[in-house]
Order: sequence, then structure tokens, then C-alpha cells
Amino acid sequence: MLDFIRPIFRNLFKKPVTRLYPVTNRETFDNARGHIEGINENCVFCGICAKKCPADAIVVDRQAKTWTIDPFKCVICNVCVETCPKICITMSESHKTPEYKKSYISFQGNTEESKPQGKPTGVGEECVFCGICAKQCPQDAITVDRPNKSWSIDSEKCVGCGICISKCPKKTIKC
Amino acid sequence: MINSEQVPRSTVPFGPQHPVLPEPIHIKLILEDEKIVEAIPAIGYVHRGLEKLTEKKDMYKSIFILERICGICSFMHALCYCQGLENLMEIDVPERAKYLRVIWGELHRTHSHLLWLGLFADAFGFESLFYECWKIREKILDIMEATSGARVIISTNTIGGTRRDINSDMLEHIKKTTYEIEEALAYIDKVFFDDNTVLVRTKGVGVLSKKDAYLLGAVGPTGRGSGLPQDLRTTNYAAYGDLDFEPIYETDGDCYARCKVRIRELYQSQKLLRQAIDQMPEGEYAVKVTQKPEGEVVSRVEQPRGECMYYIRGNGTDILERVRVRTPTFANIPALVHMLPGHQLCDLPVLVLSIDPCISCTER
Repeated sequence: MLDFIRPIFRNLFKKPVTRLYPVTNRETFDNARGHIEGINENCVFCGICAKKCPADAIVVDRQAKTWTIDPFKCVICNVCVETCPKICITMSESHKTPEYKKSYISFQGNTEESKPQGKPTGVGEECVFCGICAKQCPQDAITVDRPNKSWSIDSEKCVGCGICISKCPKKTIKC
Repeated sequence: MINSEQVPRSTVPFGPQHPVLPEPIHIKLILEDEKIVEAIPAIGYVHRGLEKLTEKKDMYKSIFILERICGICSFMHALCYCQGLENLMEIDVPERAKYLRVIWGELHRTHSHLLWLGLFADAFGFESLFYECWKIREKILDIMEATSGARVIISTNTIGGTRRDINSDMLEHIKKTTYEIEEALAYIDKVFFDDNTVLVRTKGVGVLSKKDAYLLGAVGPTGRGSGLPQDLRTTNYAAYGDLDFEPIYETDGDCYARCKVRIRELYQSQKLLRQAIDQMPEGEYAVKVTQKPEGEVVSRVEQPRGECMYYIRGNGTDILERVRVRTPTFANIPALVHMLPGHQLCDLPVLVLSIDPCISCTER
């Protein structure tokens, strides 16, 4: 009986558990998934983030060099941040505030720069034609013919994401 | 013509919108005066077609969809799905990932049970007890945000392990928090166990016998409150095989027994958390998956509300052919309908909440 009296009296002399939002804001935690802030100029418009996004919130146009995210579709899963080969998508730790109108976060790349930097041009003698680069290429730009020992790249398809260079076990792809 | 000895019957709709229900379920009640004589449930108000959506996305994207079946046990849904696919593709999950899954799983169970205790207190009108329960729950939500980045839908499971690791400082913090939670719970459990206002609303209300619970297929705390010692964690999925615990059950079968099971499980979860942290091995927490799922598999885990079952069929591609989910509330609704007749209308909120209904789970 009357077991709740003790917690009630304890609460009377304790400071409030809740915060007076928005006067006092909650401190964010490290690596918290708040909201996607945007993307920086290192983006090569490879489209991997758009492919991996479970909510289809990201749209990448390679020709027009635009990257757009719909924050109202985004489920803040952090997959795009983790899979971006250029590590250029930034996640903010603070939560997103409500908005009156629907808005998009977009990034327009420099269209005058005809070819992105860091496109592979060929392979060295160490190449064993394992085909890992071809498998990992998000655009299927690399063709490896193992029996004939040939390696070729379609520079039109290549977006210069650099995945093949980082995944190559022999580190032999030149650019 | 109404017989003078016969009490006239009236029909009262309970839900889909009702102050006690956080989610929409409709129960058509046939009343004789204030006494319930028949209850007819109707579901289908929050159907979102998530099972169908998984047939359109690849299996990695489906994790995020299936997590959103239920906000409260989101981790368990992802766990059940990932474990099923891992069994199907014969992937060896690293030991550390298994322990991480136990830790996040038990954190989820703790926060779910605390949430339920609060809602249950609210159902019989004990508002301040409701706030006390949710005050403790906040500690768990803070841990989840610090370890995974989000408060409730933590998205840390993936096929082949987990997406994040927990560092040793954080593990120590979790261990410290488990003691704090036990201390805070000690004040609250006395109220639930001994307070007169709680006892008159819960004791002897909604008695479900062991035989009925078995025949109606009651799962989780609903079944365990009636004396069925059935806990899927004893099937040793994740790292539960290495941990020392016994299923908790009560024999009374009323709302009080179901509440008692949940409070005792809260203490058990804290012990499991400490055990898992002490025994946790070092090493990798995820392996790379190269296989494609082919064939079919049934995967089961113990969610806070009971047994959850996933049926998964793959056809050798990234996109699965069929995912079928059977959630615990769906299994418990027949038991609820069986319990209702004979009770007063005012007991209905307590009875409905005693099975911990999660309607968004039920309808997917």
C-alpha cells in the first residue's frame, strides 16, 4: 500500500527530467544519424548512392552532373554515407527541423570539366586478370577476358569513382 | 418482443480510434448491460503492403523495409530476417556480431517492456506511474542513439553481421546503466506487485488457463503468464546458447501474471546484458556476403511480445521471391477474444493492453 509515495517525494526535490525545448537543446551523440546535409565537390556522379538507397531518395544525373536528395523520402539509414567511394556525403548529427514547404538538397557539378579526374587508363604487367575490378565497377565499364589475357575500359562509361583502383589486389591499375 | 427476464443486448464498437489504443484495432462488442458477451475483432486499418514491397527491392534494402514493420521491436525484425538469410546461404557470422545482436536485442526488450508498463499503467489511469516507467526507458534510448545513431529504428543488423561495433567504454557504460535500471525498477515493481489500486484492476482479470493458452497458440508473455514455459531464446539463436538463463513464467494466467512476467523479464534482460558484455569476444563484426539465396527457410526469434516467424524464399538472385511475416500480436488476438466475454466493459482497456498489442506488426 502507498508504495508510490516515496518516488513522488523524491521527484519533488529533483530537477526536472525533461528539457525546455527549444530553449535547451539535447546534446547530440557522436556518429548519430541526424540528417543528410549534402555532398561536396569531390562527387564524381557515379550513382552508387542512388543504387544503394533503400528509399530511392537520391537521384543522380550523370550527363547533367546533378545530385539530388529528397529529405522527405530519406530514411536516414546512413547507407549512402558508408558506400560513397569518394566519402563526400556528409551526415549531420543534429535532427532535421520541420519545414513548411517540400524542398530538395541538390548539388550541381562543373559541367565544363569534361572528364573527371582519376580515370584508369590501363593496367601494369602485374595484372593477373582476376576480374575483381570488373565485378566491382558500378558502371560495368571494365571488361576482363581471362583466357585471352586482355583488360579494357570503356572511358565513356567510366565515372572515375576509383573503386577499381582501391579494390585491385595487385594495385596495378594506372590512372 | 423482449422477454422481461432477458437483458437487452447492445452493440458497442471499440476502436479503431480509442483513447487507450495507440494503434487502430476494431473490436465489435456485444454487451448485456455492461457485461461483454461476445467480441468480434477486425483488423486492416494500417495495412501498408510491406511484404509485397520486399519483392521489389533487393535483399539488403529489404532489411530497412522490414525494420519498419514495427517501431518498438525493429531490431528483432531485422535480426529474424538476417538470421534466416544467413542460414539459407550458410554464412558463418562472427562471434562478436552474435553478442552485439544479443546486446541490442536485450536493449530493445527492455525498452519495449518499459514502454508497455507505462501504457498499462495509463490504461488503468495511473498517470504518474506511466511517466516513471518512461523516465527509465529514456536511459535505454540514449544508449541506442550513442551506439547505433538512432533512438528506435537502429538499423544495425545486416546480412553477415552488424553494421556497427560497440567500443569498450560504451560497453562499460551499458553495464553501469543496467544496475541503474535495476535500482529504478525496484521502486516501480513494488507498485505493480503490491499497490491496491493496481491489484483491483489486474488480479483475476482476464484469466487464460494453460490449456486454453496452448490451444489458442498464445505466444510470449501472454502464454508465459498462463504457465507455458515457452521462450524461443532457449533455441540458442545469436549468442543465447552461451548465456545462462531460464524462461520466466507465471501460472495464474490473469493480467497481473502477464504484468509480473514482463517485470521479471526486465530484470532478466539486465542480467543477460551483463553476461553478454562480460563474455564478448574481440574480433570482426561482419563478413562479406557473396552468395545468393536459393531455396526456402523459416526463421524464428523471441520478440518482446512473443514469437516472430519469417518465411523467406529466394530464387538465386538478389531479389527475394517471397517474405512472409507472422508477428506475435497476430497469434495473441485469438487469446484476447477468448478472454473478453464475461468481463465488464471498463476492464476492456486493461485486457486489450495486457497482450501488448502491436497492430502495425499484425498488419504489416
